[in-house]
Amino acid sequence: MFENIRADMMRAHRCTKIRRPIDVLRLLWSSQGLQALVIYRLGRWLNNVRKHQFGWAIAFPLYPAYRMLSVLVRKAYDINLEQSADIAAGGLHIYHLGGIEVRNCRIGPRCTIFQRVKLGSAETKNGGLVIGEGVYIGPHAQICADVRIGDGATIGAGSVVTQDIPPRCLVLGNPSRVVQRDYDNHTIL
Amino acid sequence: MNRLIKDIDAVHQRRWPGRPVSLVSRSMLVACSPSLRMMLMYRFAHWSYLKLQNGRPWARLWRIIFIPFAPIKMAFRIISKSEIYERNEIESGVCFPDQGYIIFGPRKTGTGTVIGTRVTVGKGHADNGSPIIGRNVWIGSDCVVYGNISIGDGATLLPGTVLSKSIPAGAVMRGNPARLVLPNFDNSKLLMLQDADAMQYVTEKWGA
Repeated sequence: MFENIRADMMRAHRCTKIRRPIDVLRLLWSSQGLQALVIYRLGRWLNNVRKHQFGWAIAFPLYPAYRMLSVLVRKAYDINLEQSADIAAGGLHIYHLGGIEVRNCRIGPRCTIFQRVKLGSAETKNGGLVIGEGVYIGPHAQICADVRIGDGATIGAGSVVTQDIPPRCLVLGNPSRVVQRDYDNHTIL
Repeated sequence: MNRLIKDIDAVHQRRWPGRPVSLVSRSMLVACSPSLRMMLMYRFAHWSYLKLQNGRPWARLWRIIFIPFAPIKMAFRIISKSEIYERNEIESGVCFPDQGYIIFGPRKTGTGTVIGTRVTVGKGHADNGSPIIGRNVWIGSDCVVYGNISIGDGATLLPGTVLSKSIPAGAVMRGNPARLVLPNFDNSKLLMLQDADAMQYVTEKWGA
């Protein structure tokens, strides 16, 4: 868990190393998305720990605390990272707050999402939404179908994606269209 | 202080058209309107930002004085679920939504502009510039406006518009990507309507 949180913080801090403890506090203070992500990681860790032989002894007392924190984040920031989502280490950088819902999906490393992004559908049949590595998802975008988003794709603001997206594409509009192939989103991630 | 009074009067005019403005009604409005509280918080944040500019006299002293206000700003940001960037200039008489949920960072906003809920206005990542919003612009709910663009005076963005190009004065835009619906439209009636009434007006005029 702590390795994952370290990776998330480094992603948010845009550097390879967090030098001082005050940096951690400043990051947590300024970024509500990071707080939500830390609490999500705690929940994932508790779920894993529970499966070990005496893991329930750790998970049982900590679980109410996790539930309270997750409800708090959901109500206060409106950032809903459900446990059904599988976010890779250093996976997500959440800008701003409000209306973020992530569920039933698998997210690769180095992704960026913004406010009012909805990822994943409520009911899934085959594995759910899969998002590759280094995907940029702009504000108000919705991906509510079980599709595959290729590595390095860029999904513009307000677009509603219902089809598979090949890697390194720029996608805009509702319904979404591939505007440009071989688009480099390295600078904006 | 003059600006604050103008902000309050603009909201007053929209909420209770034709009702005489008095000290009591103004204070009632401040007490019951979240949008006005957001506006007041922005004014304070903008004022403190100007104080903290490098080269201003007593900038360091002001920095220490403003430390206790940081949690208050954060509380406002979380309660209204919106971020209004203090370094950008907003003229007096701009109406924010009562529901909050806005991320608002244009370079300049003119007077009489009305902003709907769940609106994002900000910097585009491709061209690194933020929009300039003119006067009496009506921005509907769920709009996204980004990039180095300018929106003309009296323009109307219907709900759900995603705009990344400059538009002339009086234009009505809709859709994602944004398309022109009407070139010249007088939106003075629309600016005066509250949320549900404005929604009804829009659906009657242009359909759902």
